[in-house]
Amino acid sequence: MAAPNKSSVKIAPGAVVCDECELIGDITIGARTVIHPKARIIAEAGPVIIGEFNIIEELVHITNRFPDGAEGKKNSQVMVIGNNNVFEVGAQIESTKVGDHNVIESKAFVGPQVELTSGCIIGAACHVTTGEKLPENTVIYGAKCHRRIQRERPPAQNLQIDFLTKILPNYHYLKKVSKAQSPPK
Amino acid sequence: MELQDIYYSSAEYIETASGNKVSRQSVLCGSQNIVINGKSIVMTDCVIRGDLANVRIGRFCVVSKRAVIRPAFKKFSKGVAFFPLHIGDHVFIGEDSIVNAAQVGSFVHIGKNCVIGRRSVLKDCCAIADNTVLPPETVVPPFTIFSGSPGKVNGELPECTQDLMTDVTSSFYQHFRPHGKGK
Amino acid sequence: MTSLTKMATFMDVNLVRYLCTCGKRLPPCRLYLCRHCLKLRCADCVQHEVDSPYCPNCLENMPASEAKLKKNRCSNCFDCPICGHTLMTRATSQMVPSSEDPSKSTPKKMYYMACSFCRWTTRDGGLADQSTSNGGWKDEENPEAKRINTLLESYRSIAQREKAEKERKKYVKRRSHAGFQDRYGLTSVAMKWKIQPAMSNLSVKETEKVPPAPELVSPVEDFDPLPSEIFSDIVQLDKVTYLSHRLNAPEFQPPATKDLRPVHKHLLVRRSLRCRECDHNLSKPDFNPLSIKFKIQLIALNHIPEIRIMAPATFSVNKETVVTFTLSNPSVYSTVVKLLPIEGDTDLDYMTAKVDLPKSDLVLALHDDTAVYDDGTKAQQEFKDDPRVVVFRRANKLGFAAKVTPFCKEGEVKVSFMMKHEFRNTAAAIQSEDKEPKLEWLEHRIFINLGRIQL
Repeated sequence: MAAPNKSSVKIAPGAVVCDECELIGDITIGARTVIHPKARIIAEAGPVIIGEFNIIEELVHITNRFPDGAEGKKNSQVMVIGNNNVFEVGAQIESTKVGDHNVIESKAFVGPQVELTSGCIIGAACHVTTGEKLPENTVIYGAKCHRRIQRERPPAQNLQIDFLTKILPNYHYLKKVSKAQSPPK
Repeated sequence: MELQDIYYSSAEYIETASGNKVSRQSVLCGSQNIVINGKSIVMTDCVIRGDLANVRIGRFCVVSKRAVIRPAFKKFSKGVAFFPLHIGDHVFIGEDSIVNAAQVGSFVHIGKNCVIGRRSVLKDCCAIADNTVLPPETVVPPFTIFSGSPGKVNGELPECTQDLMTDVTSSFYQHFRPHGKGK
Repeated sequence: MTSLTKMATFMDVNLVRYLCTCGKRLPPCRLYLCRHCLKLRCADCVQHEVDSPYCPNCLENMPASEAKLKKNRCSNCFDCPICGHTLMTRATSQMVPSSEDPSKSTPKKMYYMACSFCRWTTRDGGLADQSTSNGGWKDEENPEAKRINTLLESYRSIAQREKAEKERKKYVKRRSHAGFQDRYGLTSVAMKWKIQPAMSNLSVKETEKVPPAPELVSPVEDFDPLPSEIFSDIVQLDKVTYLSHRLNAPEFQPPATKDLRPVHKHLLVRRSLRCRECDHNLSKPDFNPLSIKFKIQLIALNHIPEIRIMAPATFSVNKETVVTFTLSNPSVYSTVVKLLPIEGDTDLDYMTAKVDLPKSDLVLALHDDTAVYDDGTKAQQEFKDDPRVVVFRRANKLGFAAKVTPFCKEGEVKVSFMMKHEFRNTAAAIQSEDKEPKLEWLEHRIFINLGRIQL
């Protein structure tokens, strides 16, 4: 993989980023966001900006991939992930626009053309690759990726974040909170 | 058909005194909270999250490549708690499966690429077909096969499931051999 | 189902099948050996009896009669009408006017149900939250309930008469085929009119009333034309139900998602199996749906020697390949096994290769539960094996070589032969005074699928 040469990871104070996760490229992580070990964030085509109060579980792949035919053009697109999103074990996200309060369940795949607004749930093992902006509170579920609109957006996971913020530092080395350049391993 | 030998590089695996074979390439978080009772196999790139809560795995279990074993959380009125996860004996967990259950009984077969939802309860002698998604809090009764997304009852297991699973997991253990050593 | 069986046991159990007495070919884990008839049986040729219905979610079991009253559904557990997953109860707090002071409001715990898969909630269905956690969810009444009840009533009385008549006939020992009909309401009505005159002089209680026939419903002849909006209005896909949603609630069949209601969860059953010939139980599970123990379990796998393919082999047309099979003995006695070819039967459906079987008897060591803890060296000398036939021997298992020559050009290599083996009948009823259980010889036809021909 052609990792960008100048790479920097900015972690805001209050975020918990386990050292065992892989961060490649220009990545900004907001306050109170929790990143579990073995998660992988790759800023290939441009920076990845992750907001506050997100949970990124293990084996999640967040990739800012080059759009077709635009290989090599650095910083051609910015991937922005809002606040209060949950990415469950093994989810893969290539969407460059993710709003707030979304839940991407285990093994789900969100393609680069999809825009998640807010309150959306991409169900376990559902693959969404269409080029569209999902309406707010959309739920995609089941083997055939059925859709419906839920009444309320999924609840915030602040309690879980509090718990993880307390417990993860007991078991894992954390990446340092910094604004300075920290070269990835 | 009888199981065939599966060879692993002896440099990759650690064999414990109780006969567990654990890959160095696996990630055991909070290993002080993980108990594996013996003769179980944890393969390459597995993740076991003992840091979230205690994980207990019985004898003759197989955790295949890239599987994730993760205690599930539950929200209460005051805060959240992760539930300890107990897995019984003679349990086979297929490749790429994610087990978020609260309890997995004995003689259970979980296929490949499954998602076992939060706080699901898998009783003894049940099976989850490949690519199944069990939603949170599903109960899988004995002698049923669940499949699909959402996972639903799709068949019955034979009465001798206990014998079949015992045979499969213990012969899997026997056939899981290091390179270079003779028969 | 068969593919699931394969997955469930990891090894491909379907490669080696035994011929059931009824003519089906099944792996030995799906066959039963009746200890009294000494014949193989399968789930399709035995009698199934419902032991205890239970709810697959709360795992509560109940007598069959109670389950029938509840229409074989659980009264406490509900399925999501959208995706079919079990609904979970969730608690919220609502502000309600205080009982002491109506001007103040106090928080009160209220409960609703939600699906954790598709996120449907009872609020989506317009149902008000409940004040108790374990439900109190009211079922809507079936609009056709009255009609169904009258029909049921009238068929019940017909059935009762049928039964009375049958008893009467038994008494006079007169046989008629009318007895077969008593379960199927409609045909028996016609039958009864035919039999009745002949029976009338024999009947004891002729005073019984003939039940009044239920009122006939006249068929609908004309419909209103479809409203024109149906052609012009845009369909909002998230507001209409799928066919599967409607069929989930056959009594209402709601066309709009807002009218969907939680569905009572279907029960599963634990059942026992009975041999149709000798009426003995072949399988009887524990009543508790959580238990994996059996009171009676006569799986063929636990009683007759099991053949397995040792390792996959490659085959080509008319070329001899040596295949190793394993044979294991589930019995606590050592067992002699003879393998016999099938002569003069060349149906390509199940035989596409010639197989050279060992001519000599194979002696299997007894099954010993403690053998797992031995190192397995001491038993080797007890049997004088021909090393060309017996490839290895370990505890109650041995491996034997057989030469397979496919005569088909392509497709699957299939062989079939007979296995004759000793069987010591340990059935308690038969084993009366003899200390040693009776020795029998059983014969089974085996079908083995060895894999595809190399092209």
